[in-house]
Amino acid sequence: MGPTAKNCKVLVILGVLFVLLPVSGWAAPPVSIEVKTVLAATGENYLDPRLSEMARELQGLFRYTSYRLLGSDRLTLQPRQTGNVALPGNRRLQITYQGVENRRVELLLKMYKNRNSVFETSIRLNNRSSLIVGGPRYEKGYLLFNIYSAF
Amino acid sequence: MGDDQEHCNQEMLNRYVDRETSPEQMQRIELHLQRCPGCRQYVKLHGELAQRLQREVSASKQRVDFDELEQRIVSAARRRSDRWGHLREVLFSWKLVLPVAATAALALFFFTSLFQSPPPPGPSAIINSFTGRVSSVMILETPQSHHTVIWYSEEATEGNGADSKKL
Amino acid sequence: MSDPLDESQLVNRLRDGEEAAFVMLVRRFQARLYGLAYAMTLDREESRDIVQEVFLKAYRNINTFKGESKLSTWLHRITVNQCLNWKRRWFQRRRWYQRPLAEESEDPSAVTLSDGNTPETRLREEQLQQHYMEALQALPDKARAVYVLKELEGMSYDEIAVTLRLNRGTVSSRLHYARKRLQSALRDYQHGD
Repeated sequence: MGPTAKNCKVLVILGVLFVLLPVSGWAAPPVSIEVKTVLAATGENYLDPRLSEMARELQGLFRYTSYRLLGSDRLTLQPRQTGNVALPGNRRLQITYQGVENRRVELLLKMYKNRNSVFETSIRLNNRSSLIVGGPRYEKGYLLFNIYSAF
Repeated sequence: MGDDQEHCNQEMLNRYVDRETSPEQMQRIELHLQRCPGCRQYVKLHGELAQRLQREVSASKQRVDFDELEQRIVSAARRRSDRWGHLREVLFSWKLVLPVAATAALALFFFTSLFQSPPPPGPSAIINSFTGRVSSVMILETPQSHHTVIWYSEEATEGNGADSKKL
Repeated sequence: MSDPLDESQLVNRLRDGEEAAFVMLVRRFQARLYGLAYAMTLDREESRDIVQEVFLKAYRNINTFKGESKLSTWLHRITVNQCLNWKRRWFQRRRWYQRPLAEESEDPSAVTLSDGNTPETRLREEQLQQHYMEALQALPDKARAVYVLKELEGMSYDEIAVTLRLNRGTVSSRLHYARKRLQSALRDYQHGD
């Protein structure tokens, strides 16, 4: 029957909404992570237009004159899932998504170089926000890793 | 309209067309119609349109299988007369569906706004722990947007790996 | 099934939940209500759905029928309301009435109004019919309801007033408005007297 069939559809949609909404409220949602690898250096003046916002922030902290985007990687992780990002200089960043608490994404970051562990850090990152990890020397500058997460 | 302007009253003409006038009014209008081609045309047009509508509906009715429609209606009534049918009727009534939909929309808005609201003030990231074979580590924060920065020096890892920093 | 019941008997049996009475009700009124729904919507499928819904509503709400008006008036009211409240009407109203010439020519009930049967005359008749249907559909809902009850059902102003719960003056003015709109829309097709 026409009208009932349409009402059925409405109810199914509502049902799905009611099932999904609590799930989204109680269980940790999947998280999207983007890691941008940047080479910061002194000497020439260069700012990659894709980094203008980040560079503006960093210029208040550091005195580098050049910010060059070397690469960008995206991951989508479920809770307790681990992903890896290959970085320059035979480095690897291992990211484990541990969950969401107080609207912050809990991540465990492990940095490796030549298969050796360099550091391990546990962080709680604001949703739709980023953390910058930097310091290793690379070519004529320093590497920065901008780690952004959103759910 | 006609040559007898003072009598071209369309509302009255409508009542004449619809046989809603008194016999005296009818007589007066008929006299007027004899002299007024515009009003005659009005009456003729609406008489024809009524016929057209009746013919259109009649043609449509001929294409309907009313036995099948009857069965459909009776079956639907049977289905609805059982208990589940009644419950479904209540559940599917727009009186219920609309408030439920509105509630769902509000709930959706609430959850969405909860998760998409701007980040709270303070650093973008809180560092719970940091361990590793690094020669130095600094936790910094950018001045405007308070982005957290971990700055480390990995020289120690290239050496003997003797140093280890722990926060 | 014979249909010997008068209206009050039929209503009483419907109140008792007799299926046979419901079948009689459907059989007695479905064609008329379909016609009304079709005149309001100009859509066959829509009209079938509306008629079904009208009978189901009547079946469910028969206890609210007080017998102050005729059963047919009550059913007509439900039908008009169902047409006006039909949830798809905002789509339907944007769909212009369109009927191919071939369909008309195959219709045994189709009789041309004019005496002439030249292709030009026939084409003109078809165009007039189409423009009329479009103009009818473009009427505001409330004016269309009054117009259809008058021109299709042949109801008096008083009957329309009872069916639509309006006063007589409103019926008269809406009808006047509807006819003026139609006349204006069909101005190019009017013949001289």
